[in-house]
Amino acid sequence: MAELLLKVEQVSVSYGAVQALDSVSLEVKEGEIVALLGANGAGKSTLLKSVMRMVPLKQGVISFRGENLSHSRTSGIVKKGMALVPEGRGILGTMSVKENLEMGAFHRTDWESDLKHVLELFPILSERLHQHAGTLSGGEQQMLAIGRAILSAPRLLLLDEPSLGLAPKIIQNIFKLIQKINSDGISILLIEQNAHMAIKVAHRAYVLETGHIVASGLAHEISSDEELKKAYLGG
Amino acid sequence: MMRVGRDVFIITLFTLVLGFVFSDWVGPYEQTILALCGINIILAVSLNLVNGFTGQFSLGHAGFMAVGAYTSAALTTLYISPEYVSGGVISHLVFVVALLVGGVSAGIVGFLVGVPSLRLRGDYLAIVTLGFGEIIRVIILNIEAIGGARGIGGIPGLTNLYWVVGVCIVSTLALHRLLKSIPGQQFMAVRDDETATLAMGLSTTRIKVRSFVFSSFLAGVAGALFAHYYQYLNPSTFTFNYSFQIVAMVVLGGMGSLSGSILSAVGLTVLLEGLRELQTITQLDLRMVLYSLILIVVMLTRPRGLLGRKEIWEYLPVSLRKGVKKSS
Repeated sequence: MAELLLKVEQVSVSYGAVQALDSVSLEVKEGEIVALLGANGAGKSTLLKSVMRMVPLKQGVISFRGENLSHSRTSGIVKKGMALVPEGRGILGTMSVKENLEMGAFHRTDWESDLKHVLELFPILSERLHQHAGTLSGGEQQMLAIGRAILSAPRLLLLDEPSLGLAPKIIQNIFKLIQKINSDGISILLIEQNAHMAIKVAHRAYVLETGHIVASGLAHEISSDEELKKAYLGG
Repeated sequence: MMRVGRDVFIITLFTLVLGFVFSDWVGPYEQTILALCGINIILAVSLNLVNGFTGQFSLGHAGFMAVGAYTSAALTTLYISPEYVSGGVISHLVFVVALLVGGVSAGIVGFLVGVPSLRLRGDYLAIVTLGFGEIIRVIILNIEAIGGARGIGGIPGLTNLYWVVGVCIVSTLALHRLLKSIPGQQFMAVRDDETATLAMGLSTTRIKVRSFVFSSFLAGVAGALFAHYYQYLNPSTFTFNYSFQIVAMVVLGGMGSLSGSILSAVGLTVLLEGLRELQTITQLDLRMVLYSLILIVVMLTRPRGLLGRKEIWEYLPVSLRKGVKKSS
């Protein structure tokens, strides 16, 4: 039985009068890739932000490895072992690739070997190490964002739309790398609009619709459910 | 340690040489302009830390300068007996304390203003800091003990050009070093992407407040230099107009370029004085017209400021740059 990493219980979040999440519950276990699917505005990004405590919860409990995070700050959560790759990658454009990576590891002292590991994982970054990060291509920026998150030594990596704005070939590459990172022992919670791709690499999936979880299960069950397929996976 | 020794050597050398040249070979009128240039450089580079490098927009820098000017002036004029500030080694030691008191008090006010207002962004932050700058001025205006609207006079003239040059070099070098360090990189991380910086586990509020406090500290030191140069302070010096001038220097030089701030601080200060000549010729006060025109032309031709985000040596050819880097 794998250890339960992340547990989200009955979480609700609202932005003013708009309820973005309504009693959402989900779990991620050690070693899993979990996909969170849903249309625009379903609340996927809000869920990741609420897990990182970047938006206030209206109700509900989020715990990580059995520890309640209700009173933690984002900085504390990163130290506990969760890292978010934000939507749109969040590259620090005026800083070099190396500085971006160092920033990811700012609270650690023993990260030199991890830097080597990240550069092996993404060889293109070692070629670009002293280049301004803003001059990288979209795919390279995504790799940099993921590499930077890995350098904070997470047990669980939260990825917000890693395929956003990338060419299909590069998307495949990114998803291969996500599987590789997972096999290295980092669990992954993944948001995707590109549901086909996500469901292929994920072990389990949740489907979110206007703030509610409408379906959950093993990835192949979700992908073989005809109705869900029609509604969320584009037929 | 080598580095510290070398820094001290360079600072002392430049201060003595420039200070000597400025105080002995230059006329008194030019000296006043040079002193104002130096004070404006400190103000511009310190505001650039907040507006350029941290990506926030503060419009109240003159307020923090006023805090530093008034506290240091109150200390040397009202609380310390004249014999200690009338020259000699002791008076210079007293002046060091006065500069620090000015800086620290402005830093404390910066902290108090920064904590609530740095939760805002962009235009909202600009308006709040503008408001705080005015509040500070109006408070000073109403404190009778430091002269109120009459201003405070009889401040010992402890600032000379050695002090201006020295403090100017030290604060610019300190900022330059800070920005190369890991905490300095965090300022730029906040500027580039605040959400991502937060997601990396950095406390963006703390970083912004830190930047604001350090910037206010330097503004306070500049204020203390100002007070002890002109020997008279009046609240009307520190209006929004002065804050705006400092912002103009930062924007014109390039948000995120220390050398740009230095260039434009000197340029604009000298320009404002130089245009006085024109007034005697034309019999019309065209100063502000030309001043604004020059600002407009520069912003049209170089929309990101004179130097953009780069430092001046980054414009040198690579072959030359190596030599410069080694010596800097």
